[in-house]
Amino acid sequence: MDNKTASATQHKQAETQPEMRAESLRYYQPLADILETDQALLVTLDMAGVTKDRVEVSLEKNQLTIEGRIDTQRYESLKAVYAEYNIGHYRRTFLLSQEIDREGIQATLNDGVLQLTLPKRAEEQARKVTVH
Amino acid sequence: MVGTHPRFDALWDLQSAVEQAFGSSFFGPSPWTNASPKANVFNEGDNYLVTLELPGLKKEDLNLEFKGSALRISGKRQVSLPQEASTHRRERSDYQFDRTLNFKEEIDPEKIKAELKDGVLAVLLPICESAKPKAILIG
Repeated sequence: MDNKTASATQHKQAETQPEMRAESLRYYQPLADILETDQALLVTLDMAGVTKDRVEVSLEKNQLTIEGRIDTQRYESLKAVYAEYNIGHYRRTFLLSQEIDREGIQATLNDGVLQLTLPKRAEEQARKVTVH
Repeated sequence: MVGTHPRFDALWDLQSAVEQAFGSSFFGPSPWTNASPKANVFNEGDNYLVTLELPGLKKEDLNLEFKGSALRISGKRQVSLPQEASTHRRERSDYQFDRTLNFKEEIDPEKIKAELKDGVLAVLLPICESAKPKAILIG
């Protein structure tokens, strides 16, 4: 390897490293509440800074994945002078023990709070047990 | 979306520095607690921009006032839970907070703007014209 190639390789490393660091650090686990009613599982997540068009919810078998991305452009002209919290995207995965009616999943996002309603399949809904 | 974000890197470095110092000039010597929503302070041109993550809060839940050189932000979050539901996991908490941030530079109180959007409160505080540094020409 001649000198020219070596310096080109070094330059490339310097360029890619901060990018990898940013990618690996910029996702956070949003805080969540999970509640259950007779008909559905209700999942609520705090995702400040996320808008509707930047939310993705997927259900793969019984694995529920929620991802929300913030608009990083909002911060581009800013210079941090004091920081208590880090800014990043959100991602969290849950394993569900119940069978969910995928078609009936509903999601709303208001004031940075994502609310998911995951209806249980009919056969999973609790039957009342009568004591004779 | 690929690319580096030097702004965010600056935030990481800054946060660890703040954590080490255990306090700051903005809030005085006392450390923050988990209960109070955390704040970031940015420079945007000649202005200060204060941001707080307040998911679920509405305008009515917040009080902002500026006095002297201090911005005071107080508010309350109450998480409403549906009745007839059993709980699997409860991480989102109710809280009440009252925080004061002090600014070294003179702020123009008439020009302060606040916005609450998608659970993020942003307060823009312009520094007074008279407080900005001026280049002096040698005559």
